[in-house]
Amino acid sequence: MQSKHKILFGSMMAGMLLLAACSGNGGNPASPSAQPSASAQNGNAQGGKTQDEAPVEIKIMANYTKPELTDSDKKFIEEIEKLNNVKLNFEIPPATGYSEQLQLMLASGTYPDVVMFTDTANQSFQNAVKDGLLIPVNEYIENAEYLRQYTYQASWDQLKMNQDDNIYGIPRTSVVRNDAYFVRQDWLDKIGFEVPADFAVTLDEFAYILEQFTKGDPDGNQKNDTYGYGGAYNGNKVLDPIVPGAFNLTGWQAVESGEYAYMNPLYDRNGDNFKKALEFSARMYTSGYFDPDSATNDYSKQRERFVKGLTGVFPGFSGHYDRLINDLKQTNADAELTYLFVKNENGEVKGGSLAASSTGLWGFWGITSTAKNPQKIVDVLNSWISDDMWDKTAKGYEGLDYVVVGDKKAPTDPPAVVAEVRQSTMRRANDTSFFLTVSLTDEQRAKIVPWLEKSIETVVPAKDNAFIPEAAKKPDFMDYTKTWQQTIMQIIMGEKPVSEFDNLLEGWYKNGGGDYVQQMNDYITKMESSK
Amino acid sequence: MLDVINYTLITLICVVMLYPFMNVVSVSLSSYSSYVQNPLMVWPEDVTLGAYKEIMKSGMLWRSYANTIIVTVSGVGIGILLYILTAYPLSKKVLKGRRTLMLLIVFTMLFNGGLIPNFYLMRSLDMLDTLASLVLPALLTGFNLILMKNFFESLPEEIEEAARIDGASDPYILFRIVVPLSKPIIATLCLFAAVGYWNNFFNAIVYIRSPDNWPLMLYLREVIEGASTMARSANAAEMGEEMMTSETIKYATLVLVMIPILCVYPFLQKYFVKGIMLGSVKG
Repeated sequence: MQSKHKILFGSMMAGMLLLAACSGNGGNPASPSAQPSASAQNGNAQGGKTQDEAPVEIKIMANYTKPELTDSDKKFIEEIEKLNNVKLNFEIPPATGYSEQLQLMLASGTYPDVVMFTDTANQSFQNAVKDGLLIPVNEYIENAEYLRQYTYQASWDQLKMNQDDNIYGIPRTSVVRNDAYFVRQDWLDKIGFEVPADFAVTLDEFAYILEQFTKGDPDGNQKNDTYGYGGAYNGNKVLDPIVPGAFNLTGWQAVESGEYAYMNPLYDRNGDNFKKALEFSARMYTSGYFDPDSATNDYSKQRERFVKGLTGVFPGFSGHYDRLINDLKQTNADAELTYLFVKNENGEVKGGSLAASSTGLWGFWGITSTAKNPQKIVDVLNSWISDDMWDKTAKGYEGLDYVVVGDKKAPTDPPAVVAEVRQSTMRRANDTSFFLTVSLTDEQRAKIVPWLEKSIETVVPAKDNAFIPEAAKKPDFMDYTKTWQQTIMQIIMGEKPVSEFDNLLEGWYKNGGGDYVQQMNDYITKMESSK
Repeated sequence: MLDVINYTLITLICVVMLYPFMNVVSVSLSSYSSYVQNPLMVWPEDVTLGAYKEIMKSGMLWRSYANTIIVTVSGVGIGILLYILTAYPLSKKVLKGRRTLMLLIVFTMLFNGGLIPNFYLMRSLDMLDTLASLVLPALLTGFNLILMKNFFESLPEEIEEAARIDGASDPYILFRIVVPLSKPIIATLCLFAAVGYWNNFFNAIVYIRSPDNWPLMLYLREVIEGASTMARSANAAEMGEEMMTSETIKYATLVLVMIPILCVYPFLQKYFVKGIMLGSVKG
């Protein structure tokens, strides 16, 4: 009898589970996602049929540090809405959980109209393109005058995910530039070093500055408590060599000789530029010219120690001058800053980068296949950087973001809260004026404009467009990447000799590096031939 | 001599444990430049309430507080009621299918549907972006249910028999006799549940979209980690220095979030200690 009850009960439970599994819409994606091309094709037609009276509702999922809109944001959005006859609904998930929210959104089958992605290497983005959740925007940007004018071609190229002409997003552009180094001007005065008129020093001069900042008591407090270079770990939590530009580490470029048409100096078996950069960095580190906490500093700690007066050289973007000098002066009223570039052996300043090429893409907006009116979305993003709106995008509104004193803009008192949505949704390529904030005095402005201009002039764009070859996704290659990063750091810190790099490079080629280089060459050749 | 060593060691351990709290409070009350000069301070320097004033301006902190209090109070209240109503019949040997039910409950302790199925479940129940999505999924846990069941089993049956003989109904026995005798376990589970709800942020990351529904821990995580998370992404320098949260503001937010726990914990500490041993298997 008891066993009959058990059988009956077990059958009931099994039946209930079966019922639950088969009922409801489970997680079936909305049907439009199965026909992305149809949606894209209908986009223009739908745009033509849009009711003039009713604003088009556009749902935007975006990644900002703060989820709340400021008054300046609200006012700006209202203007954009009126200009384009749209209603913008922002969904701003927590920044710390954005990647989880992105994955859930893509798995849910319910998509907003526009989604912010941070990087083309993002797996969610790549899957979304593969599954047809994002539509190409080529036809919609044909008449987007400002998008075409103020976006780098390399940014568009980076968004050609399938190596055809289809562009899968609208770039959120930022200025491609060669960032150099903030240096304590007052310390330079103390050690008797005169800043060249072109703000460019040689490698030996840079080494001398680091040495004197460490040993020469530049703060004049009779203590041996300063260091030349304020280092920090990179995104992989390891140290990178410094002054890459001085060693012509300019990413993937055409080469005159060798097995491949294009090569990155990091992987060049026929050259030794990267090895020289390692040797220099190791020499500086082991001589004690680096902040001893460099290996464990993140960006904020690196900045803090510079502001504290522990270090004298800090790598950074010259557009951040005003806040940096304000913080510096709170701890030392006599502190002054200059900005120095480092020349290569030919006396040229050339931007160097160890990371993937900067194409100016600072995230981008993907338009989903369920968007009812993709053209309107492009129009909205286009108007964000239009001539009519750009001044408001960059500077905001009188009374909210600045006040007018005489004929000049001045900061409000208390300082205005940063309107992140207004300022960080879309930007213009090569527009350095964006970074000239109202809080800068005329003297400061005159100081940093040449730095900004030089940063832009000395960029050497690489040819890879941040492309990641398939070889980079193989397990052996990914494992060896960790070995690579750790060994580089050990070399810089003096735990391994520079000669160890030769073995490291050979090991890299053996673990998929050869395929990586070949695939990168194939990609660059294809992109170059299509220009 | 032994006493001297004991007291010295314990004092040192106390100092080591107290120091982080003192540092956090001190930094929150100091100016940014003082913090930069001496990040390891024990006492506040250049005392200012600027960081607290900055935080008070934002309504988000108080909304998050309110959300967390609502979630915690409702979660604990409803949860305890459900625990009592579930554990009491399970503690009775006469309940048919008791073993099977217990097996099913233990099964849920070992296996979980996972992130995506749970997300689909919340969506199909129209609970996404509501406080209910933070309360309901965590109402009953297998472990706590077993604790309560074991405690009920330890109560003498004679008390219930006597009450039954006097004409008491089952609900009367449960709520007027069993529950008053079960205050220790109820208090313990209230505490465990309250701490769980108070500290939870991951469910909010998954289920909550609107910042109006953020709980306190998610808000705190955003203040402390939000800007850093974005700074680790590509082209982080575009963010602008003003978007990085000052350390003094981070620490002041930490203090404001810690205060309720610091006030309540000394009175509830003994229940934590008792509760860990409560419901353990008896011979």
